[in-house]
Amino acid sequence: MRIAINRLMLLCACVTLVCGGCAHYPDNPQLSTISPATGYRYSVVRPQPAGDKPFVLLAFSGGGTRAAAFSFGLMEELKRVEYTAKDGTKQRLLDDVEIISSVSGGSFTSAYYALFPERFFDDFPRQFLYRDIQGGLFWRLFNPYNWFRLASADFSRIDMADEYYNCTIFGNRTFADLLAKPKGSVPFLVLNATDISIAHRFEFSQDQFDLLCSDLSGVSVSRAVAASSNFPVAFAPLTLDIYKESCGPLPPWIGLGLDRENNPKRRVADATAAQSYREADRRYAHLLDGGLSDNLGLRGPFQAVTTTDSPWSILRLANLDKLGRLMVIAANAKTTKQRSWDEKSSPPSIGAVLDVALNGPMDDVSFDSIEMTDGHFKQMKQLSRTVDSCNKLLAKNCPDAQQINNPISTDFTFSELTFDDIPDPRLRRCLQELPTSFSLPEKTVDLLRSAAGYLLMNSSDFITGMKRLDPAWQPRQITIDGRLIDDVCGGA
Amino acid sequence: MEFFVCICPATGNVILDGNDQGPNKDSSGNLQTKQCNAGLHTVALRCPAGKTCSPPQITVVIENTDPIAPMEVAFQCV
Repeated sequence: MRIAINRLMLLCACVTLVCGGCAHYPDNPQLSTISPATGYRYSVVRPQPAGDKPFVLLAFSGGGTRAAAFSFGLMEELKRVEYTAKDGTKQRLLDDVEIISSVSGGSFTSAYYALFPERFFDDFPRQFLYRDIQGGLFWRLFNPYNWFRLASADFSRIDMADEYYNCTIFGNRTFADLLAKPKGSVPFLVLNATDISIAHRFEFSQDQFDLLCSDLSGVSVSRAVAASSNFPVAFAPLTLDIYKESCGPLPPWIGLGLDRENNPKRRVADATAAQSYREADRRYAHLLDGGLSDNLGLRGPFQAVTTTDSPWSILRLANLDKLGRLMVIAANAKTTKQRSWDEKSSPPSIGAVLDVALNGPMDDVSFDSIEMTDGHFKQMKQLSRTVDSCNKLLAKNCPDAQQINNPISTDFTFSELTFDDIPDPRLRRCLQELPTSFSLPEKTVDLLRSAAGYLLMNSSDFITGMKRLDPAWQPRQITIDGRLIDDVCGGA
Repeated sequence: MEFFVCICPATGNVILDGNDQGPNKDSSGNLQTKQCNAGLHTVALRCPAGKTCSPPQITVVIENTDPIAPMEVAFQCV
């Protein structure tokens, strides 16, 4: 009897080991033929915008639950922003959101909104923000079944995290579920990761998956979020399959962009990155956190606003006269830690150096993205003013001369929400020193939500943009609850 | 940012690197200036029905332009 039980246990262990050892990440399906009219693309999920409506683009930064709560607070406030359109009707600015581009922690917010817009505001705090995601992930490591699975070369901690997100947050939804929604009912979702082999931004859109000859429709949204929030070292890179059977040609700009003689270096780099997926020896793509290439989610929008190469080119909409007003709002949950290293001669610890090595470049890239976007909008406004000034001079000095056509008819607004702009030094310092984790106390989450609303309603760029849209619009007066600040940040 | 116009006696849609950028002229017949990023591009014009564009496509480096002096890319619809 005892021998029989031992044999049975041995058999169970062998079966577990064999099954676990065979564990494999979920393969992204193959695509036989590229079709521009199908798949998760901007032009498929959004109707062509009306030129007289604001085109609102949101960018959500990384930063774990801190970033998710901060971007959620922005969404809550946008829901309250109403303006009077030219036809006299009341419009909600949230309904004008065309695109949400997000990274890492911010991707949980954007993806949940795109999947479940009807219950987003009621459910998301309980489903994600107040949940101890980090603890949930940690305890999965103690499940013996997962030990065997993790022994497989084709299954790693990020695949386990993907399963956890899929099951507990995103309800097994795929990009096909996003595609099944009525056209224009939710914003186009751009979840950004980083392809570490080419150190380049990787977005979960069908246009990107065309390069891999893969069908995004069969990929779970949780997998895209897992890739976007795949923090280095904590998790292993997430793997995608690249298929080598031809599914169709590359977009024409890539071939043109590879010409080093006649293109700016940035365009050559983007074309080289895109073309690399069709190289014979690239059979897999390995993805890490989107923050490694852009921790603000602004690189994709910047490319879309400044080039016609982007698959969701916003510049093209300007050419089609469908972009009267562009409003970009970036929720930047970056922190700024106060260091006391320079008070002592001894060097900082290895942990502190690693923190700087990982986060320093991300912060730097984010800063550049903001400067580039803001600078571009200012340059466009200046060019437009130059044409208008020329026309005034022409009308005055050469009344018979033909006026110059001004091609820049878009009104640009760029607003960045950042803790740096909180006027109260205690609250500012408190928010700037919040940790990056997937577990924050409820009151900290609530404080972040309030801070986002406060920052939006006090953003001079946003207010100016709104007043150009509706001169009668007034920002809501928001006061952040002093008791909440005391509870989270300690007494004054 | 770069600027260009497609000059043609006829009105047609401007195709840049394979993507439609809207008509080359407005309803009054004035040339519409289009915007693009700097670099090598292919420009074509989709002529009205029954006519074909000549040349079918022009590959050109668009750079150093401004909205007052956009690059001129010339076509004929024949």
